[in-house]
Amino acid sequence: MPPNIEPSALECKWIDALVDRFFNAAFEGRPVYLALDEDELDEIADLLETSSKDLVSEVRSNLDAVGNPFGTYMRRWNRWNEHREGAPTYLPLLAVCVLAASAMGRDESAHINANDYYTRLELLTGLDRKRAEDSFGELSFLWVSLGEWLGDDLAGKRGNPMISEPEWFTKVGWPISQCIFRATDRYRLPDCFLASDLRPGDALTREQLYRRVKRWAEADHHFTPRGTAMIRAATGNIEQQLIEIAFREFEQWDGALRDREGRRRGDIRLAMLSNRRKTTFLFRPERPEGFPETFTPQFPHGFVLKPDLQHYYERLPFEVDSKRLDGITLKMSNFALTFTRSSVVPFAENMDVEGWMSVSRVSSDRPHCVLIHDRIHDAARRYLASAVTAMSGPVRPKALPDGWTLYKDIWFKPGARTDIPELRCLVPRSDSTSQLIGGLRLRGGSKVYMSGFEPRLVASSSDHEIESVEVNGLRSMLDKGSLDLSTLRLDPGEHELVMDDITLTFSTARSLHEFSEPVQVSIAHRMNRQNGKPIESGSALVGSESVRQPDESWISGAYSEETCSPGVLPIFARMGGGHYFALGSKPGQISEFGDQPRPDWLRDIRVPKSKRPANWDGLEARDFISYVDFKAAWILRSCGERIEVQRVSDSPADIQTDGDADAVVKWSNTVLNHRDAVPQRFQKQWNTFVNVALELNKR
Amino acid sequence: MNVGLDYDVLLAYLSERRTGTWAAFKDAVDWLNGVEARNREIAWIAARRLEDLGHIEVNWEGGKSWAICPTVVTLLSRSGGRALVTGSRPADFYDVGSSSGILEDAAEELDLYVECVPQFRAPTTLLVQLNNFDQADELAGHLGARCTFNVSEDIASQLPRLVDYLDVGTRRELPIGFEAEKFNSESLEFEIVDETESTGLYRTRTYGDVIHALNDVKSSSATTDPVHWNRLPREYAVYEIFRWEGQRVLCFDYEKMCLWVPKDAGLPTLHSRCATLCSGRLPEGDPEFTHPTESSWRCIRYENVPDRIASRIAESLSQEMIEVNAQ
Repeated sequence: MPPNIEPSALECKWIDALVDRFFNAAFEGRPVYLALDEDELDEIADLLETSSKDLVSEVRSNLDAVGNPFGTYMRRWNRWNEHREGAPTYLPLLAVCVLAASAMGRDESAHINANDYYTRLELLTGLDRKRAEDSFGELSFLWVSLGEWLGDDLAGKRGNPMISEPEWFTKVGWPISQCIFRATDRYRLPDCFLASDLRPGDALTREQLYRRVKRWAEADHHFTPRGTAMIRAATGNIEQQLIEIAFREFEQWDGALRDREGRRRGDIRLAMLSNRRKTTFLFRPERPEGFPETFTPQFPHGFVLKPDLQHYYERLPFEVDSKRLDGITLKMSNFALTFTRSSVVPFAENMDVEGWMSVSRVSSDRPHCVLIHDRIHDAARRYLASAVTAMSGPVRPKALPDGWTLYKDIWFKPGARTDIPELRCLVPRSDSTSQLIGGLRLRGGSKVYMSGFEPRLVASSSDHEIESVEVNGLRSMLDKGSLDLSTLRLDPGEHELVMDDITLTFSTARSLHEFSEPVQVSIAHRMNRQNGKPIESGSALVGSESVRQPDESWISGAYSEETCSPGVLPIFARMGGGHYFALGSKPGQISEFGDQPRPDWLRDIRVPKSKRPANWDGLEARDFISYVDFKAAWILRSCGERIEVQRVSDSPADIQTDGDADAVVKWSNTVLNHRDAVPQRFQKQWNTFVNVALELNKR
Repeated sequence: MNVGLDYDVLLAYLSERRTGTWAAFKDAVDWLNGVEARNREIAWIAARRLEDLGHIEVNWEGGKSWAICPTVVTLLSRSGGRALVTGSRPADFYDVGSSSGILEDAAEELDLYVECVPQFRAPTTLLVQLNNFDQADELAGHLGARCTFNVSEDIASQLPRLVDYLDVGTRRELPIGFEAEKFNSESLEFEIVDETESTGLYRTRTYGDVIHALNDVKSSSATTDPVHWNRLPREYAVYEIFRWEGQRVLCFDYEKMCLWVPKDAGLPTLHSRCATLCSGRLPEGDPEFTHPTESSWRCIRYENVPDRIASRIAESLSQEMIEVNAQ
């Protein structure tokens, strides 16, 4: 059979499906793995409406019987590498290699050494283990190529490849690194991080992190049974690999949660609202940062959720009944909103909703309410009896289905503990790691702070008190585990905090922008330029000025393009007179003003003599009086019997005489009435006006 | 002068950050309030103050967000030839303590003088003494800022009519199942009611939001619209009630050029900004002022408002100004 340098139609379908499954656009910026195992294989086969054995059969038929068994795929790599168009055609081989690795350490293969990769590959593909072992190293080119395709060619738009050869598994480490932790389990890690009181960017070692992951996996069975079994059984190299994966996931974690298919996930919270008459319950979906403005759940839900509060969508149009309390999942492209069934629902006060909102975990510094289902009620009562300092209840809320009991005004004791997994949400949170809290971040999600407004360091360890921290190599003492970094007067730049075995970095900057870089308008009041009508009732997101419609005018703060092409012009004149005329060079261009005193607040400005500029007296005598809709040429000011004339601009002598007849008369009369008032030095220019005025008077 | 929250720092921070979510704004205000500050500022009040002064815009609808506004140099009438600098003021722009920064450098180069006027619960007012308008233009050029002769005049010329705002309200019922309150145009307060059938302005406090809606069942536009509820920002809805009832609430002193507005019937954002930027100063409570319509109304006073701007604001809100002669 000739070697199949081009993939068959069936292989092409599998390539597309593998890419869609493991490297789709939803994973942009997130770590991605080619994490194929039997379950994943079955699910992809279902989607393709084919047999899960097809992929392995195709690869098996393409293994060369003589020489390098992977020769066909190496040639494919060469061919694909010429143009690098579309997905790599060698992907099926790598997927099958990962599939073999996914069987390592599983119970059903217990008769094979947990670290024995080649026997599993032989069972799968029929490839003699000796031949495989001899040539397996060459596949490193394909792994590197896959990494380059995802990382460089696609610039991480389908995820950041986590492809590497761990030093403790030579050659076979490539596929093992992909599948040791199933995708579904990896998507649960953010839940583990949150449940462990971690926040993105927290400083802790690989081992500290893995201890939390292990504790979470063992106590609550949050991972798949296979994932849980893997974590429990892992030792040595496998455990090292798990530690590395958990750490990479944590490093890249942005605080978002994921559903089992990798969609960004927001929780649907249960809100409890009481007024004088009744208590009501409703479902409130969160709207984490980056979620769409409106959420349109996939079929069969026929509604649209609009944002209603700062971090939430509007309430779900569902009653809070037994069916919904068993779980809700709403999906929309790469996003999901979920309510997870639970026998215990703790609530905390929420100012945004002016009521109570369900929380994932209680804390000891504020009051809580707790809903408890009958199926765990007795155990929960026993726990509460020892874990709280105050509590009222129980009551059976009328608005909920049977079986639920509500306890109110609960204050939990710090340090309360329970071994019952379902009650772990009632164990108060404790800060058990080192965090940077507050400060003025110059970029959302980054650790760049405004100089002088650095955050507070809170450092604690579960087994001892941290007393000091090295800041850029200099020792600073903590006060009860806390240090306000803004008191250290750090110079702008990179900074390093070292305490115990934890290192934390952040940077400070005074300014991130060149001032010459103009501010772009992104929120504005929009008006229809033609009819002046508003487009919204307030200011709205407008994107940038480049998208402004020609028939729209925008106002943003004190700016709009209208304000910068004004129809009125300012004139300056000395203050203190009784009456003012401003004259333009065109008869009819005349404005008349009365004396205008300065406003009180301005009069109150006191500038110390030492700070006054040399021409201060002159400045004090100057007053800006008004705006006129022509270019002013002269200002005539009466001060009692005296007339003072101020020449404003070098007006053209070319005087036109059309315009409003009354205004023309007024203009010429004003000029003639003041014909002798102009100082000698301006007489020549003034005479031009006087002559025109005389001419006009004759008509 | 600033108690608790340092508005100059807040403005510098917002200018550096440029845009953000409401959560980011609130976090910044909370952080700057400090843990021990007795006089903590509330985030939305801080935002409204900065909006009035033309420093930021806030999108209050839906997923709230904010954005800094372009830096603008604008002249102030009756100010001794001073220009106001508003909008974005990043960290290096001007340090009030040391009188240094980009603005100071530019002013020195043009032989101009920068004056800082502290303002209670607001960023320091920055004024520049000018000799002629061309200097404002030059200053703006040095700063990479925009320049306008008179921003209040320009905003005033663009203020839409009240009825046009009614057209962009949301035709949607008042949420049911919540306690409803009705606006009383005499007390300027909302009072709890049992029914919402009659014409008027109602509000409900839902979960985290206060929704204002006009029941305009008798209005001409409602006759063709099956939904006679119109959800609007409070300020427009209140002035629409005044229009229905012929209630005059805006008072103006032509001589002093001051505009008084009942505190509980505050101007909409653009209108308030228009009046505020006549002086660059936020309106202040005026306990001495007695409103001619109802003496119990507490009023705030906008200063240095030219009569044509006050008239334009009143006209836009379908108000007829009450001429007063304050002592």
